[in-house]
Order: sequence, then C-alpha cells, then structure tokens
Amino acid sequence: MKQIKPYYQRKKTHRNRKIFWLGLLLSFGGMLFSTATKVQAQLRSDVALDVSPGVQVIQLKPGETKLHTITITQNGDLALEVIPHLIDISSDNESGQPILLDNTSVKFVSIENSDIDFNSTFSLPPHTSKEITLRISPSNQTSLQEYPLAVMFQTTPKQVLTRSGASSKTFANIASNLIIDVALAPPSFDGLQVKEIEIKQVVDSFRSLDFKVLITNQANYSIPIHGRVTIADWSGEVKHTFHLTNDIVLGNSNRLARNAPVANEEFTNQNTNFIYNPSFLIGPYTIRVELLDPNQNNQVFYSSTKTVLAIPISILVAVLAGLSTYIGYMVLSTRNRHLARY
Amino acid sequence: MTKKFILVLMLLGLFVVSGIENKKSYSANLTSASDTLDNARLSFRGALGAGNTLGSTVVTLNTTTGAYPSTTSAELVEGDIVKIGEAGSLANYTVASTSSNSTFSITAGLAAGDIEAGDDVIATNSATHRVRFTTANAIANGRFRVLVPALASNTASADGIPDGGYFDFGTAAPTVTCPTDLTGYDFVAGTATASTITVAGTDYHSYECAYSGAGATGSPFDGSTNDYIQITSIINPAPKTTHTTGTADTHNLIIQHLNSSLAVVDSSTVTVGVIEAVKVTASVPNQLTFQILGLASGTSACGLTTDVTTTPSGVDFGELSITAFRNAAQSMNVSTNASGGFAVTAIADDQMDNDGAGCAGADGTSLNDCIPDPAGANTAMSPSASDEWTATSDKGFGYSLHDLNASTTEAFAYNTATGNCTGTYCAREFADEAAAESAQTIFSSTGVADNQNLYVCYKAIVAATTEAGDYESFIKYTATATF
Repeated sequence: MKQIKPYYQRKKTHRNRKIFWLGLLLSFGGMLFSTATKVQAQLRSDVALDVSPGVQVIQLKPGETKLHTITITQNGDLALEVIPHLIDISSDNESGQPILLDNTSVKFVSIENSDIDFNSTFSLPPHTSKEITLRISPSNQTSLQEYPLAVMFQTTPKQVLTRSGASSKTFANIASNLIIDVALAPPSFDGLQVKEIEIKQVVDSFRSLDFKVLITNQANYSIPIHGRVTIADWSGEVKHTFHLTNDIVLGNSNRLARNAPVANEEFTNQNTNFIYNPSFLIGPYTIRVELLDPNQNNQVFYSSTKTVLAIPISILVAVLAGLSTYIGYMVLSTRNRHLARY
Repeated sequence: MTKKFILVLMLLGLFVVSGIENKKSYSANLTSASDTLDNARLSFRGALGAGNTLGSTVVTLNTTTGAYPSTTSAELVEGDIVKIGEAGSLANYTVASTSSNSTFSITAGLAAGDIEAGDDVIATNSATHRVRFTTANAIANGRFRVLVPALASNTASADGIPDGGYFDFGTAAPTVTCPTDLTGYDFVAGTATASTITVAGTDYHSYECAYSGAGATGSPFDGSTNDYIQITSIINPAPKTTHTTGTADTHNLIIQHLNSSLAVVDSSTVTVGVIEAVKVTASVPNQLTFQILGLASGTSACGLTTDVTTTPSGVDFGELSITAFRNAAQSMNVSTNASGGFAVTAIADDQMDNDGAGCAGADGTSLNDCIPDPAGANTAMSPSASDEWTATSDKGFGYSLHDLNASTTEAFAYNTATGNCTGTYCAREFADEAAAESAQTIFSSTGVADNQNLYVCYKAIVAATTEAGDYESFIKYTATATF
C-alpha cells in the first residue's frame, strides 16, 4: 500500500516542483534573451567618404560663368566636420596622379551655397550627402590658360578621441579634381608631342619589345591623348598595333601613355608598358607612335619613330663563351706539351 | 408506285451526293496562327561614308537617305559585331558606342582595305521562329509549310548578307524542328529551301514539316498541347526603303497546310515586325570612395599583433614602453570608377610632441619632448625610402603597410625583402609637413578600383630620455582620383 507522505513533505515536494519549473522557465527565457542579444547587428563606426565627380574638366571663356556641383557623402556612422579647401594641383609628369599643393591664387571660383564657404566648417551627419555648387566666373582679364585645381574636403569626426600617453589623430581627406580651361576656343590636339620612346636600341631576339611612350603637352591647357603605336619589321609590314588610352595630359606637363584594352579580351587595368612578344625577333623593328586628331577624322598630326635592332645576343654569347673556352683549352694544351717536352 | 420509287431514288441520290460532298475538304484558314521571333531587331546593311582613315576607331557611315537600307547608327548597339570591307573581304569589328547617328565607335581601329567610301558595313541579326497554329482540316499524309519573304535573286537571298525588306536564308540552311509525333501525325525531318516558292509575285523561302498519317481537325501545334514548328537562324531583314526609325517594318509570312499532292488546302498569313533595339542610356559620373576603419587590439597586421584598438579618427597607443614596441593598425578602403584610378597619400603635421611646440628638424631626434622618426637598421629610412625596423634600440614612431588580399598597389610592404629590408618589418617614417616634406603615396591604382584595401600599421617605442607626458601628432590621409 502506498504510504501517504506527511503534509509538510507533500508541501515541500510541491514547492520543489514549482522551483524546478520556474528555474527551467527562467533558463529558457535567459537563453532566448542572450540569443536575441547575440543576433543583434554590430554597428559600424567608420569614416566612409564618397565624392562625385572625382575628376572634371570644364572649359569656358573669359567673362563666362558656369556652375559645377560636387557631392560629398559620409556613408559611415561618424558625424563629421568638413572643411572644403580650394587648392592647386600639379602633374607628376608621369602617371597622371595629381600632386596636391597647399593653396591657390585662383580667385574666380567660389561656393554658391549660402551656408558653406571655402576654409569654413560645415557638418556632415552620418549617412548623408551634401551638394556643393561652385560658381566659376573668370573675368574678361583672366589669363587664357589652364587652372588645375582640386576641392579637397578635410574631415574630422565630431567625437573626441580620449588621449592618454601617445596618440595620433588621423584625418580622412578626399579631393575632387577640377581642371578649368579658360580659352576662347576649344583646345586643339596638336599641342601633344612624343617626348620619348623608352626602349634600348638593341634587344635579344628571344626577348620581347618592351617599351614606354612619354607624351609631352606643350600647350598650356590639358589635352586628351588619341593615338596608336605600330611595330613594323624590316620589310615595313606592320606586325602589331596598340591603341592609346584617352588619358589627359595637363598643360605644360608629361605623361606616360597607356595601352588600351583589346576587344573581347578580359579587361585588365591598362598599364604604361607596351609589350610585343613574338616567339623570335630578328633584324630592325620600327616603333611608330602616331597622335591623332579626332576633330579631323583622326588624322595623324604628329608621329615619332624609333628603330630597335633585335639580334640573338644569347646565342652569340653562348658561341663566344664556347669559343673562348676552346681557345683557352688549346692554349693550355699547347703550353703543357711544350713544358712536357722540356 | 412509280412515283414512290422515283421519290426513293431521289432521296437515295441526295444521301449519296451529300456523302460525297462530305468527303471533300473545304479550304480554310489555320486558326490561332502566329510566328514569334526571339530576336526582332533589324539587321544592318549600310556602307562607309567618306573620311574613314586607317587605324581610326570612329567609323563614318554613308547617311544619304535611300542609298542603302541602313543609313543611321541608331540600328547598332554596343557589342554588335559588324563586318566592314569589300564583298568577299569583310573584317569583323566590335561596336564600342553609338553616340551620333552618322558615326559609331569600334574597339579596334580600321584595317587597311576597310576604309574606302562605299565599303560594306553589315551587322546581322538572326532569329529563331516559333510557328504556332491549329489545323482546320484533317489532311492525310500532308505537310505544313512556312513561307518567309525572300529576295527574287536566289543568290542574294541566301548569301548571309542582310537584305533590305526581306529575310536572308543564310549560307547554311536553317534547322527546321518539326513537332513530336502524335496521333495522326508521324513527322519526318524538317526541310528548308531558299527562295523556292513564288506567291503573288513574291518569292519565299520554304520550311516544311511533312508527315504520314490521317491528320486531324483542330490539332493545336501551339507549344503547349503539341509542339510548334521551330526554325532557327533566319537572318532578319535590313530596313525597308520606307522604314522610319522607331517604327517596326512589318512582313507577312504564310503558314500552309498541304495535301499529299502538294496542293495548298489551308493557309494563314501572319505578320511579324522587326525594329531597332531600344537603347537605354545613362550617364555614370566618376566617383571616388575612401573609407577608414579602426581595428581592434589583437588583430594580426604586418606580421605582428596589435596592442591597442584604433578608431577611424585616431590611434591611441596609451603608455609607450622604452623596451618594447607598441603596435596598432587601421584599415583603409578605396573604390573608384574613374578610368585613371586613384592614389592615397599620407603626411603628418610633425613628429609626436608633448607640448604642442613642434619638433625641430626633419626627424625630431634632437629633442627630448619629441618621439622622433626611426632611423632604420641601415639608417636609410625616410618618407620615401624603406628600411628594416625590428631593433628596440631604434626609437621612434613609424609605419608599415599590409595588403591583405593583394587587391591594391602599395608603395611598399611590411614583408619586403629587397633593398634595405629583410622581410620581417619593412617600414618608413611619415612625411613631415612642418619640415616641408611632400605627402607620400601609400597605395594607388592605375584603373578602376573595387574596394581595394590596405592595413596601415603603426609602431612606436620611446627612449629612456623621452620626457614623460602626453604626445600627439596628426596624420592626414588624402584620396584623390587620377585623371
């Protein structure tokens, strides 16, 4: 016969059961809560600037006015203070990378926005954009020339870095390049010339023709490159043609031409190396660079050639080395026989 | 009696006649007839205008109205393959863009022999035709025939060159796929013949599906209940002489049902339209995106583990040691669609100093309240020259670079093992603006960039004689597009 527990024991058991179920419920709820916490997304805290356009060329006449809008965006989670600076840029005379200078003497560029000015701070909250409209108004007395400029946005997060010990504050700046050509007429292309075709005069027959083309702009305004490079053998037959990328050469500066991608080939970044790599080269090859004027049906307005001689240097070296070895051997042999005789 | 007999005979005769009449097939239209093209673009048949030159990537068309079926580049789109040259010597070129009606750009320049005025400019557009219909009568051992308008000349209608206002057969016979066999229809392989049928003075290419069997009335060859007839690779017409840009040229195709004697029993005419492709254009401004991210302490960067957490706006080393390096790092990303690429430069206002008075000289080594530039193992370190920096006796604040996924072109790398660097920690000092040094490029690209990223690794150690205090410097990173 089942023994009935005393009242106090039954009450204890009942209480224990309550505690057990309560504990289980709490544990389950705790798991849910902690799981929910874990799946919360971590907020990014970063400076992620976007500027558009990155590069712009504007042509206008003295006395004319044009407006140009630059958009700066903070895609990150930090509120920023932004200071726009108008500065001169210059060419590195090679790659087209602008060298940002400290300031500018240009006075005919101003900001239209009533709440923004050069060298003054404006706020850029997280995930917002600001459009800055420039008024470009060269006077009738403005010199006819190119004015390569940049609007550089210097940014500082509004949050204060807590310093202790040694620290470095880092600032993210982003620039929008602006090339202003003040001219009475659209620029012509004939300011461009080929300054140099950089390749050795003699190459090994088993190597490639690997060269660079340095373009110089003798005009005082920027001109885009249009042109091609052909390689012809001793008979004049064109063996290969490269087409040049339409890169801009700033006024009175140089730039290495880049070869344009070939149709139907996987796109790769253009580079400044022109490589003609057949299995064997022999004799003279003529590298001809032609600059074209797209306004004149792509007529050639300038050309430059360089002749390179391909000879089997490696074979000659091997033959000479073998010959030297043989001669040396013969000399030694003769000498040894002579010594042996005596 | 006789009258009754005659009446019966008359009735019998009527039955017989009606029976005979019921056995006749009355000609009718095929119902639910249609022809669907998977490509309704016009083909291009034009010619070069004057002024085309060797090597030019801009092609000038003859735009004289009526001179050729196609006189505007509006019929071409980027990526089209065009054949240019004289008959029998046509070369392939790829259309790069069509910004004006009289010209279009190609990806590679015109070759010799492809520049003379009057040279052909041809771009074919072919289509697969799906012919659907429902039979009107049961015709035993018959065939279905699709007639497509063709030039009168048998040669020109099948030379693979688009014809103005007519479909070209092509140089290889199109494939005719007949429906799968069904009750009453046991199909044989489809056939195609160029310019073989003339109806009302117009020549037609003929595409047939013959069958054996009794046929059936109301058999739907609609691609759902039964298969349709499919004809591949018929070359679409070039524009008619009356063509208006933006308005489809219409062409009548005939679908016939023939009996065993090859007589047409049922027929339907369907109309198809061919038109220029709708060009959707948009301009994409060039953009540049630059991002700085802080990295948590314990991050592996430049072959070391960082000691402090950084933010996008700063690197707080905390307390520096005189016996061990303190390491930190930030991450930088750049994207741009500018074809010239980008560059990111770095420059510090000065060496780290603790009183705001600045550090005299280019490297700040002469002052006890400055953390100087390190010298490097070979005393060759400068803003533009790398040197190995692993000795704790070489005091200072410098940096290195770590390209995690080889996505960018960095100025140097922490594991460079050439020149003065031996591959452990190759470093440079920051350019000093106070000493009029120039900002240095730390990473760049010569073309478009998609999220090219880099770790900038900071390293510092102080001398025993460095005064106690809080030291600070400012480093400016500037991203700019290359033009």
